[in-house]
Amino acid sequence: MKAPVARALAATALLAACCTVPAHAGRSCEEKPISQKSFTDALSAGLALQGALDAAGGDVALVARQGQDLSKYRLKYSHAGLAFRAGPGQPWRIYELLNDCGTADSALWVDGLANFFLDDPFTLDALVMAPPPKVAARLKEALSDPAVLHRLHGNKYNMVAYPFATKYQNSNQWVLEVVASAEASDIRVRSREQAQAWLKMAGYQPTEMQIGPMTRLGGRMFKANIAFDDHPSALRFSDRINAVTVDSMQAFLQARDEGWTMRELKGPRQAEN
Amino acid sequence: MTANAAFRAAIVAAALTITTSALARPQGQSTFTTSEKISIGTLSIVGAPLVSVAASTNGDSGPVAGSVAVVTGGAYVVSGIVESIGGAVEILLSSVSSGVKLSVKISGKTVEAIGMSVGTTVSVISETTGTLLVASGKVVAFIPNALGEALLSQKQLPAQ
Repeated sequence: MKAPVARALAATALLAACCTVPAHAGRSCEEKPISQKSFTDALSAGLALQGALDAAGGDVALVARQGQDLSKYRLKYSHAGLAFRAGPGQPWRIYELLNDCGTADSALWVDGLANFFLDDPFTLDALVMAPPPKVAARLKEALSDPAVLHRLHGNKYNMVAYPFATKYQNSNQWVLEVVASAEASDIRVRSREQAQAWLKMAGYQPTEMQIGPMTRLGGRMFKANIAFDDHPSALRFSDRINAVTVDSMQAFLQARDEGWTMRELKGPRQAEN
Repeated sequence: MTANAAFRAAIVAAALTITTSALARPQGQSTFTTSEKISIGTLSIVGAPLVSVAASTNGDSGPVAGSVAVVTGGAYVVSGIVESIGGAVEILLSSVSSGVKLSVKISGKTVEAIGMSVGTTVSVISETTGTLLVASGKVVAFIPNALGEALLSQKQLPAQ
């Protein structure tokens, strides 16, 4: 299945474009008080997600949120993480890669389900992708071993990291590479290179966005967490920027036809427009 | 970008601060382990507040960790703000109607960011997931019950 191709943005919208490139996820840079509504919303969205995860019947799932409005790229969810609990009755935690507040670095975090929605996301909708039992067992193994998770983490963050290079990594790419390590039964995946080789072999198609030179220049100049120098020249200079998105992961996992179940949750609050 | 990096450090520091201000807690209240004490933005996640039903000026009936049920559902007024070590601040709240007093230790940043001072009204609101302390529409502190506690955590993945 071909990932959606997003249309180019006007070069005049430089900064706006930079701030809404897919796969951005980070801690809020501002230390501002949280409104009662944001907090209550995050807790109810977290509670609803807990219900959906419990109902899915396993101890592990991919989850995604709609942090930003990416409709201009024809994408819905901006950021994914791996939900995991040690066993029934234990609290769910989301293992996720987060950008360190606009810098060029990232770290792996273990967060609560409400924390996933605490930074005022665009909507409180969520997507739960539950793996088939065989993949679930291998994902659980990976999530129980921090060393495995760190081995598949590249701490140089780039919102639009090229999916088949290891210079940078975005939040969805880390999730996808961990999933690749669990999915690969023909080869043993121990490194990011091996995960990407397997993804290529398995036919993973990233999302391709058309991002022109002015927008790329703006992104590079004004943001530490956007870079294009990992993209192959042939693609980059024809304005074709490929990145790992939630939508492309969902399409890939669905197309594998091995029993991944997808469930969307409507949040208590919808986009205000 | 150095300011941003400093903010990350501030979050971690705030988390530690709250750890040091852990309050005694009765049965059924927060069971956060110290490493899970967290601060999100300026919001403090705290254990149970200290409650003293009658003023204890002579010190022989000191405050005890109270049931949140005793203190919820009312309007309180900040009657005192006491700074303690490590940037933590103890706010003293007096109920407008019942005379109940309580004290909550929170991050000094919260007090600053919300602009709390003596006389500020604080509502104590009961939710499915715990009890919220709200001033000017902003969350001052959250005292999670078991349901809320399971939903909140924020820590870096350990190395091993």
